Amino acid sequence: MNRFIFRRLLQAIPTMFGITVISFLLMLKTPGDPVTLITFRPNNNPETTAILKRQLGLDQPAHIQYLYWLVGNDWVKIDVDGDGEGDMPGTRKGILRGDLGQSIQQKRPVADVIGERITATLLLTVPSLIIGYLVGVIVGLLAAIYHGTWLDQLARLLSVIGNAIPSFWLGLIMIIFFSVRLDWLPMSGMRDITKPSSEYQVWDSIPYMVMPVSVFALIIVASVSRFTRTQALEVMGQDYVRTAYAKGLKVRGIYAHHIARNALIPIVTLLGGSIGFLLSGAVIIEQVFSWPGLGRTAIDAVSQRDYPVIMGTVIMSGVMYIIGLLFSDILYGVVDPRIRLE
Amino acid sequence: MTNANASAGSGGPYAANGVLQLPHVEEKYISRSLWAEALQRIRRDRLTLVALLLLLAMTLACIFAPPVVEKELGVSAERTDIINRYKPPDWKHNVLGTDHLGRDQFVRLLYGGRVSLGVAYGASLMSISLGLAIGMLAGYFGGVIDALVTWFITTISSIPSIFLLILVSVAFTPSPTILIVLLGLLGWIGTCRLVRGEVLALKQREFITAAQAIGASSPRVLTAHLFPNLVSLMIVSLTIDAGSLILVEAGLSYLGLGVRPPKSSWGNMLTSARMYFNTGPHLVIWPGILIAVTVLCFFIAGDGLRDALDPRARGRGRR
Repeated sequence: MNRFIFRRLLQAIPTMFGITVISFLLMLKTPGDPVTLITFRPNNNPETTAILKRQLGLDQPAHIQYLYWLVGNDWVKIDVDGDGEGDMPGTRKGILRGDLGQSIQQKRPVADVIGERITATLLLTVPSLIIGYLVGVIVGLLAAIYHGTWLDQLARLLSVIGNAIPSFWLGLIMIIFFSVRLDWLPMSGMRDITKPSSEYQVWDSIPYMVMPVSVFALIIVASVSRFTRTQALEVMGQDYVRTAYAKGLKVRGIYAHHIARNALIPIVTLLGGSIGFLLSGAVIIEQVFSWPGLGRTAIDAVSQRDYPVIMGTVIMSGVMYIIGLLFSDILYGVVDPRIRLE
Repeated sequence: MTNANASAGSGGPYAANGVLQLPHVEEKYISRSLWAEALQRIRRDRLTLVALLLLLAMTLACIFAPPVVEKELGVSAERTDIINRYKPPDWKHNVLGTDHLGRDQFVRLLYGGRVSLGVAYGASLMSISLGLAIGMLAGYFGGVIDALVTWFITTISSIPSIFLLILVSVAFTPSPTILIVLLGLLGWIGTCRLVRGEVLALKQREFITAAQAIGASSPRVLTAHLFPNLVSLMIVSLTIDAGSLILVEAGLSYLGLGVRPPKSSWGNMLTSARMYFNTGPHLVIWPGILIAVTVLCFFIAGDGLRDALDPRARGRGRR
């Protein structure tokens, strides 16, 4: 098992390397000069600009910039005044040591910004994931058991609608209905901002969570229920299920022990992949409901051209996705003892 | 084309040479080509038929209707009219009401459809062709090419798509054309994976070995023997991809990263939806309904086409 995890981690290295290269190359292409963005003073004299550029390492060729960004530049002396000799040691630690750089807008480490926002994203996505999978599995199993009845049709309708309706639009419609018309639920944000943040408790967020979590959960239910149904139908055609019926087991027991247990194994693999999906979905849902999470940070950073933050969120989402996949692979082996993790 | 030719994908040209021709087969058995059979199946599948017709109607309407509508109803997609802002729908003039600048929503939706559908068709065509080409090469030749392609696919698909799109749309300010290219360049991965898997399976089959045995070159095997077997798969993915791309484009434009105003797309018409909650709910409802209906049609059509084109998938999954 440990060997398997180790090997999977090794396999993740080229992928991570690719992610950093791609995002770095794309960032190099972006319009706008970082120095102008940081100083915000168009009539800066060229000398200060040049010094700042050298301090930031922007005078270096792309591959050196990438290297500094990746592993930091505290092991080289930076030539600040441009005379060809190193003057002071670099200050950056590089993303490999957790230094995602400084946010241009907020003037503080990107890691802090992301760390702050990621809890909000988790508060939104984890309950959605749990509810979505629970409901999705139940609906899918019921649809398979009552195969061909109105219940099956209803489940199919639900999944088709859940897949075809744009999630942000569903969110908007819910806001119009439940917040604007009925005034039952708060329409945006994550807590009552008129209250001091010291009094904030997690459950204060529950009314704010209802709508975004249900939109999210619906999307998950749509795909999970369809997948569960297909899996369950396949299992129901297996010989061991027929044997179970033939030897007179209780129908309920067959559903629970023979069908559900076997149908649910492949669903575990969905779980890992859904982390990336959740992060993507969170970007849009957070925007609709003004939820102060990672996705909104990314979008805000785009409109403010805060490149280090954009890079940070992309790298973070990649890391989380890879961890999610690894996690689901391990879980797969745990729930299904027949699978040997080699 | 005989049934044997179509489904095995081999023999067409040889039949023309008279080498492999089996002249009496058609007389003995009632044989239909894959396409004739597929057409017949679609004709019987009402739901798919309705979806396909609706898509056709919507596409034609978006291409041809806007100038006509503008002329007939005396409205304009560009002209702002501050006095008549947020007008609710009425049947005489502004069929679907006006937006926050007094522009007619119906015409703007039609123009938006040009962009949204155009992006969906363009990007899905592009991603399918790319995915097909790369997937076939990787699957057929294997080795270094395959390893490289697989690495690239794993990497790209490890960045949640929307973050990748955010990065890309920051680097290149998108116009509809650029958006098609970007979505096409990012979207081929799924198809590529599909095609690669299919080619890996197909190249073990006898008819490929047979073709190789009689000395067919690699390009010939790829184009004359493998490609025909992938066409139906591609048509299905093309349809489903187009549906998903409508959603992606709408999401991006909603976030302000896709098509920029004043050019309208179904997604960016919802960008400032927050402003309309009290004043004009019709501005929130209609673009969303159009998106949902279009996507639904693409998905249903894709499902139906799969049933019609893939004899093995028949009876599996749906019923």
